[in-house]
Amino acid sequence: MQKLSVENNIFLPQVVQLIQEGHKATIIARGNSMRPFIEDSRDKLVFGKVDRLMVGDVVLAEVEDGHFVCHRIEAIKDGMVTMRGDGNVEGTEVFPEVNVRAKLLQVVRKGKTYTLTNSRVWKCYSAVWPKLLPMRRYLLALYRLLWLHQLPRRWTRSGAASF
Amino acid sequence: MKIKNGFELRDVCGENVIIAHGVENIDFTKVITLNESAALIWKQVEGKDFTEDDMVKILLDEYEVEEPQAQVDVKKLLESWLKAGLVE
Repeated sequence: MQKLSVENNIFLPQVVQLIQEGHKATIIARGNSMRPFIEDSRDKLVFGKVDRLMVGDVVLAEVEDGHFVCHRIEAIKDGMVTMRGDGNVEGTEVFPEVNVRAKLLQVVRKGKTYTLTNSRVWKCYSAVWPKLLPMRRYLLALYRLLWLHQLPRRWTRSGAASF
Repeated sequence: MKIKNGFELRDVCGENVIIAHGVENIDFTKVITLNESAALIWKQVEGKDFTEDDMVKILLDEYEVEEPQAQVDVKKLLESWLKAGLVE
């Protein structure tokens, strides 16, 4: 089996189109911005059509032309959505509600499927994790240290080391 | 034989990708892509009944290839289509 890599700005509009046609689509998660639950290249994301948007939902949005981001909704006000990645400390995306292209329905994490509307694990995580924002920087550092075995860059000479 | 209902060949970012309609969830983490000659054959046989010989003929018409080679190639291709469940 070969690996096929396609640029997001080309690939995701096609995925979005299929979703608008009523399909669901499964893609590989890329990036670290939805840690600690979702991990780059390890996990899969199942997207479907957007229905009602609620704070706490994880959605795929076209924040700028051709630039797609999948983060958690932090606020919806006056037709504008604010999103923040679970793995991000600072930095949010703010954009019009109409730019939301798909909703995350399931996460296949380490081979196990979590359906977001049914999963107790996901619901607990989603209820708790955003509330820990003041401590997020340290929790993520701990996650990298203990689970990903990555030393903080400042502690290593070369700047990137694992153990 | 014919291509099973619900399978469609689509250009997704420059690749010939088989999309399964009717399947609720399209899995892009494991896709079936066709190379140029396989895609050519597909486009010419989709929607109708065809035989292995029809497939060979398409290759012979389009490419400068010897018949024995074309037959070998078609046999391999058809096997992979059957294995992937694309053809009935």
